[in-house]
Amino acid sequence: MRREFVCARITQMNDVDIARFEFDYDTTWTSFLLDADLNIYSRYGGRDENVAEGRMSKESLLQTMREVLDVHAQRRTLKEMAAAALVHPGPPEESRPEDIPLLRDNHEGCIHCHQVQEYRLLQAAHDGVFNRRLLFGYPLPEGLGLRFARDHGHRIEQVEERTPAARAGLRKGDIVTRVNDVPIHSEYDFRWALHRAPDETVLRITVERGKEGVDAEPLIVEVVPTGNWRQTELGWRKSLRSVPFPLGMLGYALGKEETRTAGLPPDRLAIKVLSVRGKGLAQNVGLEKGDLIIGIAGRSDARSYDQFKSDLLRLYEPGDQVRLHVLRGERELDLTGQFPDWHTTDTSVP
Amino acid sequence: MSSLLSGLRSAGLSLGLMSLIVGGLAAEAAGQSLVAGWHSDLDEARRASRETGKPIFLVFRCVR
Repeated sequence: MRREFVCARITQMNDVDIARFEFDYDTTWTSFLLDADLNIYSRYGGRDENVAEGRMSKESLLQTMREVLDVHAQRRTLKEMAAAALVHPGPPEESRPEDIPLLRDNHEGCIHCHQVQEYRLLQAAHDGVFNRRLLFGYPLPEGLGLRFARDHGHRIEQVEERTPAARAGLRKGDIVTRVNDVPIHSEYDFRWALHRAPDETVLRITVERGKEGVDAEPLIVEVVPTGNWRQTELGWRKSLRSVPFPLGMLGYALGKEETRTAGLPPDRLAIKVLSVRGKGLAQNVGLEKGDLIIGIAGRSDARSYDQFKSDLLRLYEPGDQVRLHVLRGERELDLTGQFPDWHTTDTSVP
Repeated sequence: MSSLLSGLRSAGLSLGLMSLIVGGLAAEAAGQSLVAGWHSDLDEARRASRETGKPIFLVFRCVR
């Protein structure tokens, strides 16, 4: 299959057109299938909070490559407009990492993928336009209530009851071929289509229903996303360190043994506060050195330190009252305080 | 070869996916450098795509 393609590999982001080659820059591996004029047929890659390869498989990549070969051949016979409908919408203009002022002024040498995302976050903070939406890119299909077959990529394997996908009438076995103006050949295509959709939206999803490739009639359904459909776990993301969120403390998650020693079940949330410094969330809620955070907004399952930060960012935004349950010595306390405004003094990324 | 495989592994790719990506190339390269079959310049890949009529498979593999 590889021989049917011209293969290219890029290992740094310097001078890359990030408007065209837009992907989740916290990931370490992503691919594009395109033509010589940079028309993108498909994106393949992506990950979730569990493992880097959890959203990919040899079978689904082969499926995507086969479909792209078909489309590539088909486009040659079509007129311009019909051919254009078979590729991903392109950006109105080029953009490069070096166009981000903080990166241009503070960074030398090789630009790593994650640094693009980190400088974007810092720049947004310095420009006063940072918002939580910037953190939750590339939503998972589970946010709409569906899951794709891992060995295919865009065939629905499961639809959860009472979810936007179920309400729209999507079914197990449906093959998603289009979301709005984005042709779909992989799960990552689907996630990119969700990524670029506005917050208040109705997604027009085209599916083929029936035996694969035979009598499969295109069917368009409208999916209305609800709730926090964009939100995903942030704890795995390298860019988490550059979120302009003044937590104002140093700490770590206790291991299972330490948690047990502290008199808690080993699967209990247990974040040790090593120090409280500067203005920030920790000061606002009244945390003290030595406190053990054992609950957040009524939840108490074990989390890593980064997952704890992710939970704070998923649950709250500036102005909200944060609620923490804390063990201070022998006493259990409920602490509340305001989630601080977005702020950072950082101008560069390690 | 081993450094490329370890690089891909560190990027979190499964053995199956790695073999798909590098396997055919290894046979094709037959003693040549494994990376030789992969363009590292997109413009070169575009030229090759025009000449052959094949689509491009472009991988971003960030090396940390």
